[in-house]
Amino acid sequence: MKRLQSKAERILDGYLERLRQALRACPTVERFEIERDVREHIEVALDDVHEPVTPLAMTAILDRLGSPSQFLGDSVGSEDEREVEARVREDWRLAYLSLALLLLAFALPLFWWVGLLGAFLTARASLCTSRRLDDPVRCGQTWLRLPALLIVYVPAILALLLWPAVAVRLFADEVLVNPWLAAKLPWEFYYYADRISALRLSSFDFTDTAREVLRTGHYLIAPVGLWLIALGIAARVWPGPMTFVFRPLISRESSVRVSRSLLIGGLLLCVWAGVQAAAKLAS
Amino acid sequence: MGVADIPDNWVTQLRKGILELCLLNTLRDGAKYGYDIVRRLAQIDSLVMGEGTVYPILSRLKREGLLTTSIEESASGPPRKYYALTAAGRRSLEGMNAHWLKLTSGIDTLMGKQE
Repeated sequence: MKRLQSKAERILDGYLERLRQALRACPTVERFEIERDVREHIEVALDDVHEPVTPLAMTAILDRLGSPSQFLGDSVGSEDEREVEARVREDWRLAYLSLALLLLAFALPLFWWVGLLGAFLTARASLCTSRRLDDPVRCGQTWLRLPALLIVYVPAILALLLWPAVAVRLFADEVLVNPWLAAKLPWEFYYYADRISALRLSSFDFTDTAREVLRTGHYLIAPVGLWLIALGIAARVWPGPMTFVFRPLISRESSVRVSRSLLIGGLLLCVWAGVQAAAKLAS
Repeated sequence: MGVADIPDNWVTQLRKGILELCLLNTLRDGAKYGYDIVRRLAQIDSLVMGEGTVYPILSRLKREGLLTTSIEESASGPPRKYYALTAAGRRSLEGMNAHWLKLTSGIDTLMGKQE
C-alpha cells in the first residue's frame, strides 16, 4: 500500500474498523472476503494518488465507497438492513458501566480486582459494539473506556516486553542459592549469576539504579533485546493475535509500525548490550 | 415532474433490482477485478450510490455459484481478485437479460399507450 499521512491512516483505520463492525453484525455475508475486497479496492484506488496520501484524498475514496453499514444494508435486503442498523447502533451504556465499575474498584479496595476485571471486560465489550471509531462519539466513549483499558494494558505490555529480564534475574538468584543447580551448571554460570544478582534494580534512587544498569545491565538488556526482536518478527508474521489482545491500542494497520518499532528497539538493545560487554572485556 | 419528485424508496428498490443484472452483464465479455467492475457500473448514472455496495453482491453471487474468483498478479499494484461468470452464471444472465427485455418492452408499450 502507498505511504499515507498519519491522519489519512487514522481515517482508513477508522473506516476499516467500522466495516468490520458492520460485517460482524451481518451474519449472512462472507466477512473476510468482503473486507479483503474493500481493502483491494482502496489499494487500487490509491494507485492514482500521489504519495504520501493526504486525508483529503483518502476521504474522497472512502466517501465513494460509502458507509459500511449502509452499503451492507443496501445489498443484503431490507430485513437484514434493519438488523445491521440495530446491531451496530451506538450504545453508550457499556462505556458508562466500564467507568462505573472502575470507580467501584477504587471505592471498594477489598474487591478491587473484581471491579477492575469487570471494568476491563465491559470496556472490551463496548469496543466490540461500537460502530464509529473515528468520530466525536468515539472520542466521548474513549474517555469512558480508556482508564480501565490502560490500567490493565500498561502493566500487561510492560510484563510482555520485560519478562526476560525478570526471568534471568530470578534464575541468577536461584543459581546462587541452590547448590544442586550450581553444581550441575558450568562455573561460568555461577560467575554470571553473581554479577546479575549484584544488580540492585529495585533501588529507589533512580541515579543509583541507572548507574547499575550502565555498569552491568547488559546481562539483562541482551535477553530483552532478543525477545523484542522475536516479538517483532512474530507481530509481523501473525498480526492477528496482537491486534486482538491490544485492541484498540494496536490496529491491524498500525501493527506494521509496532513490529518495526519492536525490531528496531530490540536491535538497539542488543547493540547496546554488545558494546557494553565489549567495553567490560576490554577493561 | 423532475428527479426530485421521484420517491426515494422507489429509486432505491429499483436500483437494488437492476444492480445485480448490470453487475453480471459487466462480466459477459470476460473476468474483471472488483475495482474495474465498480468503475464500469459507476458510469451508469444513479446506479451505484456507494461503490462498496457491489462487494457484498459479488460475494453472494459467488456463494450462489454464479461467479468464480481467481487471484492474479498485477503489474501496477497489489494482486487482484478477478471475478468471472460460471456456466450457471452465464445461463442465469441469459435468462435475466431475456426477462429484462420482455419487461422493458412491456413497460415501453404501456407508457406509449398512456401518452
